[in-house]
Amino acid sequence: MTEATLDRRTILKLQAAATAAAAAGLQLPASATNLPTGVDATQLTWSKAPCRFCGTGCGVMVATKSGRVVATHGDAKAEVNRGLNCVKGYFLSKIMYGEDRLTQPLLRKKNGKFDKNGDFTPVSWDEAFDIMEEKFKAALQKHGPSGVGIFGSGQWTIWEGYAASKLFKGGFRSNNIDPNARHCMASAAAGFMRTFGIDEPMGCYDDIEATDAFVLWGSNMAEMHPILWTRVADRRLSAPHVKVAVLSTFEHRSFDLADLPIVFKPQSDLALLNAIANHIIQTGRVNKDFVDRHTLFKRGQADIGYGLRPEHPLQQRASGKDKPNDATDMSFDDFAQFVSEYTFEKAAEISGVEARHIEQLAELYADPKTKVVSFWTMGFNQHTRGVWANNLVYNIHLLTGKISEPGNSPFSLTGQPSACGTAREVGTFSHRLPADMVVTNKEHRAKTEKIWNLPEGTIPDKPGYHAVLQNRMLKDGKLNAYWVQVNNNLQAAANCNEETLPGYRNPDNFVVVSDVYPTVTALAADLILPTAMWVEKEGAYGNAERRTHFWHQLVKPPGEARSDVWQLVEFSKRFKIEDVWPADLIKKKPDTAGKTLYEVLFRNGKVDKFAPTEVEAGYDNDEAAHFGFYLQKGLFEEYAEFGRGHGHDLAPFDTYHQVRGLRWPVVDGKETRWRFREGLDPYAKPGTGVDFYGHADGKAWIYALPYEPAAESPDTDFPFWLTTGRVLEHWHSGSMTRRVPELYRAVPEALCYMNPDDAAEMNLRRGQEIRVTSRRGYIRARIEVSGRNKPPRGVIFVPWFDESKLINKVTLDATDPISLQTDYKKCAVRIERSEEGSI
Amino acid sequence: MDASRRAFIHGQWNASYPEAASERPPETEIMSLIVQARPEHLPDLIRAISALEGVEVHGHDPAGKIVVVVEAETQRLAGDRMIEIDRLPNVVSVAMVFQATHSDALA
Amino acid sequence: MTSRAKLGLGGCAAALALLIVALAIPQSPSLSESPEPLHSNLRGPVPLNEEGPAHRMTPEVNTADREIRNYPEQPPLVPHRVDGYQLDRNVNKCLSCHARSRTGESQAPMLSITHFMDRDGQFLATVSPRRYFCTQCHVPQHAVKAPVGNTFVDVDTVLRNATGKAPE
Repeated sequence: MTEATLDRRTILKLQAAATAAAAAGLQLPASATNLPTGVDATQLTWSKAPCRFCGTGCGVMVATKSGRVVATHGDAKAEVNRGLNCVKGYFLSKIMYGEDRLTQPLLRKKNGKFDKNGDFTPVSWDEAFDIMEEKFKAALQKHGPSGVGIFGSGQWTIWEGYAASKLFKGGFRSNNIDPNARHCMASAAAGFMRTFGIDEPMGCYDDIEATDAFVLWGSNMAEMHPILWTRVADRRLSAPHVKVAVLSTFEHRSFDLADLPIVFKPQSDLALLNAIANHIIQTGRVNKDFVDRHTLFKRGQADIGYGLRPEHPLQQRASGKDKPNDATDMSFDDFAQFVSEYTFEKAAEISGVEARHIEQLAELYADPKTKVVSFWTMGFNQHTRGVWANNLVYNIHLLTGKISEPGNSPFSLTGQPSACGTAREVGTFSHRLPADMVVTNKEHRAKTEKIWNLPEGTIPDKPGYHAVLQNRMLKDGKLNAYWVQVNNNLQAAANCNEETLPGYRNPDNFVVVSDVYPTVTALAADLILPTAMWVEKEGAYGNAERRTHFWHQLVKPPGEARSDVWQLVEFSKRFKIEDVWPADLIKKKPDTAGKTLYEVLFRNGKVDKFAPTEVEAGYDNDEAAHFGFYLQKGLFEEYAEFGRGHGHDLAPFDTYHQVRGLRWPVVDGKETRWRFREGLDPYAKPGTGVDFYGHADGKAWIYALPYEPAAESPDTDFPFWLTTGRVLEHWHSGSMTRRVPELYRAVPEALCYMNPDDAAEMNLRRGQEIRVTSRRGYIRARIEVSGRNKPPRGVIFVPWFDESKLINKVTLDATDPISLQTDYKKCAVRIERSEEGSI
Repeated sequence: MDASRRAFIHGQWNASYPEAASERPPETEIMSLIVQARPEHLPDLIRAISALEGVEVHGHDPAGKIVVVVEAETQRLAGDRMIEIDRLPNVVSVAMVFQATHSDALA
Repeated sequence: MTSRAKLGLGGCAAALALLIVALAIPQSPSLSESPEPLHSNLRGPVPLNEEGPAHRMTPEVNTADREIRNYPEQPPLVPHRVDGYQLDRNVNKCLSCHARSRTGESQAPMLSITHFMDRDGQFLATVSPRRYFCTQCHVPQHAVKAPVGNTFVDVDTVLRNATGKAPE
């Protein structure tokens, strides 16, 4: 046989055999394959990688041939998904191949020179960095470190986030670094820190197969975490006693599996949670022993405002706005008294849910024989009282002792593939440092400066500008040199019409966007840097269950595209330490004098410790080739120093290339599935049974927190609640998935989902074009009254993936005052028939 | 009856969709199995399995695992092959690992 | 800009072949020659501070013809309408045609036998609950062209390019 006869069928058979052999753990000798010669030509190279999309963290196998990704499938060996993918995951092969891929830097120019109003013109990397250098230096000159900033992502790889954090906090001495995880997980992170003193879930996905009841609080897992949903469905349909309760402000696909479907009024989840706590106490089902030994009670500050600009009347009125995170000690009896007003009747009145349904829900938690997993995502987190909602769900798990053991698990799901691994663990927030440390703590700064080998006092002691504040500061002209990586914030930021867009286009500012495609954010920038993505670079993500997983570079990026970490590290060569540090700081470490940031931060004997030859044979590493050292390994090993021995232990770098991820803390080579439980977590001290070691007192804190109303509620002028979210087929802003024709055609555009009675009353029909208008902006969209989302009367749902309908022009940039995360689920809008178009 | 005609009769025809009109190509089912055999009967079993129509043995190990690839015209036939293998003496278990439908449309 | 290919991968082999020829070498938009300011076809030329009209809603494609998969591991697309299908813990409308016992009557393809495997790779007598919600992987298609094309090429084409010969 010749090569020409090696058709797809033959390849398929080879692949079939190879897959089975791999599963059986045996090597196929060439002589045993019964296959023709020329097999080499048809052999595909299969490598593991995590999926590029959500926080579930599915494993995939990626086939490459001749430098291109030619196929992907669910990794049967990946514990998370055991061979399955959702529809997006199955189309991963195509996300890098959108035809309008950016392949060279583009600078706005007029007459051969940079001009804020010029047209995008291809330039070299040198020219791109020249203008960036000029603008960053000018901003540093004018405002000091607060004049520069970066907005990153929970889709940064671990080392990209780490390098960015080090460059800005340690190099430029600016804490103006925040990830888009601020929009996504900040409330969950703050909730963990307040209740447990340590971030991230105590349980893991194995809870799914061990539980008796699932409660979804503002999480449409069927669409947003589809593979976890397959595990929930598997559990529910295989074990008939298992119950599924789904709570949301509108009916969606997850309701298809619900035994207890509950649609509540926006914001009233706070009342439901307190009513459940009250029910547990009133019916004598508090796990007294657990509560006595392992918890403390705290009265949280109330009336904390809405994170709006200080001059906003709502901010002016809030009595607790300056100390939102405060709490005072209280007793169990005080707490019981506090929640006693939240009777089922009162909760029913606030939420619109029938009292008997609230009772059924409360019984799932109260019944000591029922193991419960609570799942939540953006319904809780994107909430002006999101941290409270997180605290309140922990309250009910703690009151009953249903925590930190298989099947009993309050579990905060994450939206992004590395919201945990990068944004949170690496500490890319404006207030954080690696391993849960914060910039406001002197010891934490000192420890960081020591590991980074920087002089004491390098890291500023105040939080920088967080996501929402960055846009406000851009608009106000106080943040002048700004870099955006791995996100599409013009589409994602609430109130982008009044804050983000004017901020980017402010003539005082120079905005750089690193991206793969011409997103709306890139198009609003002054300089676009073409970027490598996913398997075009070596990477690492950390998923929602603390699982750190790695992948190799499998193909080359197109044209002149470079990875984000390459861009960050290469750009650091443009600054002498004298450009960024005052003389008295340099004096503390005289050996830094005259050096570049690159030399001080990345050629420090740690980051550059490993030779390019250590890259696993058979894989490219463009960064190692360029810089002359194994950049990713050096960054990772330096970063891992922060957590080892402190409850965040990571395995050695090379281990992660061999396994399908490991859940930290990894101690003595073993991962940890349930934290805080003696015997399951090596950090839980012997004799404690349960040890909430995140707090120095070893206890988890139960918070008394009231129901408070939303920042903006419907009124006569704006009579509808607007809630936004995602759809199964598209990832976030759709910049990858809408470039896969199959996914585009599956859900071509964002629709305005509306209750049919509301539509009928307004004499609107399905398919008609309407305007959705708020006090801030409008979009035009078509009405859907019979699709997968079924809002109750008075609520509309518009997903945000569609850049031709920028729904975040309409949303409100009110935030949780503690987490500073935006509430994307509640604002007031009106619906009008579109004048420009009809059916 | 061709595919488009069947679609038409079933009322499943949408002329506005530009990419709809194509013949359904002939297909082949390909799947791979791990057969766990009693190790002492390995040689006999490999011969028996190889004798089945459309079935190839691609490898084995001393513990009794055999990697098998099945090729058949339809899923049902492929399934039948699998059942036949399962019924052979000294087969402990059969697990399917990979399954795909191959279409000749591009070839 | 306007000359950019707008083809999507389709079910028609001829169209697909043409597309592959056209896109075998990934091309970046020739920005400097562009008479219009750079924009993405996903939004169109509407300036960022304005909002354009919403496209008319398009029906789901409704045929019996299956699209060629990009690679064998890809779940087949749904070639027919499924809007209004009941798919919940009580009823699975898809299985009323695609279940093994119904395929004789319906002439619909039987669901792949992978769907009978549980999380541990064991075969069940019926469809595995983890595969129960079909639309998590199998999606219908609307009668609309994707505004941005994709230069993915399947393995046959990669091989053909590599060896300079056509398979079979």
